[in-house]
Amino acid sequence: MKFKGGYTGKVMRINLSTREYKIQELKDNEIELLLGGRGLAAKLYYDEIQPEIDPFDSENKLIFMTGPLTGVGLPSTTKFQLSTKSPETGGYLCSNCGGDFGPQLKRAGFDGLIIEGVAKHWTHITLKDNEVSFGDATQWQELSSIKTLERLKEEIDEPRSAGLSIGPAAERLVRISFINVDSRAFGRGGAGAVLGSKRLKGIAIKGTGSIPVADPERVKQIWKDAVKDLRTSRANHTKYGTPQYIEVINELGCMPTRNFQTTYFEGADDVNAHAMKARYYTKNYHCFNCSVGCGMINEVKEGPFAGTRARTEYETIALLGPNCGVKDFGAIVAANQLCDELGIDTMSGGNLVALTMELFERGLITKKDTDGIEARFGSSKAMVEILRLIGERKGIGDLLAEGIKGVLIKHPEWSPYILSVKGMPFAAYDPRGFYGNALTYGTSSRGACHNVGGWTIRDELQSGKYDRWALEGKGRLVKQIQDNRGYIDSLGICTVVRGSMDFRDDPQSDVMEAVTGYGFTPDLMEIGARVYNLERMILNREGVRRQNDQLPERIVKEKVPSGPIKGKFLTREMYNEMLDEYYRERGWDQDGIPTEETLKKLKLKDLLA
Amino acid sequence: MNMSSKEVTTSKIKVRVKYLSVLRDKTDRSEEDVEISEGGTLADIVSYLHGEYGIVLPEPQILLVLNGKGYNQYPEKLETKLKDGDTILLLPPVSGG
Ligand code: SF4
Repeated sequence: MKFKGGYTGKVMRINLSTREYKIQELKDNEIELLLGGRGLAAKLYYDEIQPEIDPFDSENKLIFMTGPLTGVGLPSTTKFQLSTKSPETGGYLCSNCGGDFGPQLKRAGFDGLIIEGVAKHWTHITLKDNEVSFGDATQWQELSSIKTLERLKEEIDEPRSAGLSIGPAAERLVRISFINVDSRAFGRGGAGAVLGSKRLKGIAIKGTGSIPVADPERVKQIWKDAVKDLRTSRANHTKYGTPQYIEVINELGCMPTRNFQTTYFEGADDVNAHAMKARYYTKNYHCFNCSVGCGMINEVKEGPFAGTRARTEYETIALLGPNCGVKDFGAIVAANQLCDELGIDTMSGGNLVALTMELFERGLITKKDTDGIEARFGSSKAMVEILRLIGERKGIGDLLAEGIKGVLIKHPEWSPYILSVKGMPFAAYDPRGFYGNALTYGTSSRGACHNVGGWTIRDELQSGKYDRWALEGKGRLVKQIQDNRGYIDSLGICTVVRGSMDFRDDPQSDVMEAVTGYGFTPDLMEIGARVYNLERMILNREGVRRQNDQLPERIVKEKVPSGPIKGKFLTREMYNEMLDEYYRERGWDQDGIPTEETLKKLKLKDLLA
Repeated sequence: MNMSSKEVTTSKIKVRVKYLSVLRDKTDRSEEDVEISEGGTLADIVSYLHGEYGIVLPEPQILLVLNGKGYNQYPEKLETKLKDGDTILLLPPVSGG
């Protein structure tokens, strides 16, 4: 292999049906063109998961892939990627996660891990370097994802091992189930249910090798400089974590409130970072090699939810709090803990609870449907109980467990109240507040996601180049942010620290040279574009066209009724004007399909031949 | 209404200034109304913030937002004239995650 560090060049493939495993080599030219992580995972998905395969089909696979920086001695080199067919959306899913699993996988000698087939009975896997063993997990059924991680650690019995697991919801094929990775998660898209369908309760891993880098001295220096930079540049993250944005997003008028009916939550003072710090915060959580430690571990000390504890992020607070009309931070922590135990995604969970509350308040469902729950906005009790019903597939929870797409298929008449794109429920920003964000949701490779889709708020607010309510220029902006994210997700580092190592829109070659001995730059942005186009080819193959890039009714039909951006609206025509510009910038045709010329320019024609 | 001499001088306007997230730690309050002369600009608020709290603007770690838009989106930047009832937000730089 031509790279002097960062990669092992190998992928471990484990088949649950046959209990066989084998090691395969990665190709240099694929690494050169797709970098690693999200890029290589997308390529494997393209090659191996055909469009007609159902997410719960034995032929669906879980493709975990690290990037060249995963596990290397630099800040926050914690991330690894997953691609699989999503039970929640029914389409391509890429997902990004921290924790120790990715670094341990690399130390075990692998850039990637592929899980295929279906186990005959509930199983767990132990991976120690290149030794694979299968254990019986029949007795682990119904264990929470957290308890399962504890069992996995006991089984492997090695210091500093890592694990990933599912909770009981995934065993029941709840389509919003996550994979718990040492308290971080592959959250969105329901990947946990794919593990559930394969009867795989978890994987424990320990690697004893080291990860070579091309220039160890230079890497050490980059590490020191970056940590110094992060001390000031990310001090706010260390102090308040992502909950610092509750106040900000609310005052900017794009806080999802009562199922996105409005964009300003009057009770935000009770759930913002100051309230959290004063009454609930216990300590910071740090991912592998991270000096920032933006995770805020909170504990409820009094009241009906006393004793509950969770690492509570902005998205979770916004979607379980304001979006459900709930202003009790303790209830949000309790709901977060419950989601962790059941193994369901708080973001999709929050959206589904909010939908239920709106349907209930409109009289479209009654207590008969909700197992007697008075499902009104603002009720903490109802919020927590509906989540439990979803995780246990009881009452209306059985319908909600099919995910928002499943709900819409069963009840198309509820579409005015459903906020999703391509089957993925909205992230915690109302796109009527920042028009770039609308395009983000519409064109993200996995549905309405703010990360993969490109987080535009910074540029639309502070760069001075874009008015947040202008249409022009947003296509270019969104493409640029998506391409940046495309390569960051392929590197294996956390996006929060990227600036400290100059991984911006004009990346320098220093870090890549020091780690891999190969510059990759100035082409990292082009790699990001290639990854995005490869994903679009997958989506096209799965049937995605322009009509699937559209936004739900509420956003393009209703004006914001109250709050700081009262009266703002975005019509379908306005949205399509931005979409046209976006397609032009991407080199896609009017239907959202990359042109031959674009594929050629990005060398995708040859790569996929 | 019996106008006092102060009220007769109707040349003052009030703007609402909100301190969000970490900015609140610098000011120890979440918001206040600041009175400036009619025809006053964002620069007057900037000097108020300096005098009152020692906050020096512009600086990359603090965003100054006027009526929902970054100050640098207004053609006059800090020289933008303020109106009675305007809202100014001070917030930390934002980034996704
Ligand atoms: S900044 Fe936060 S999310 Fe990123 S690696 Fe550090 S603790 Fe994890």
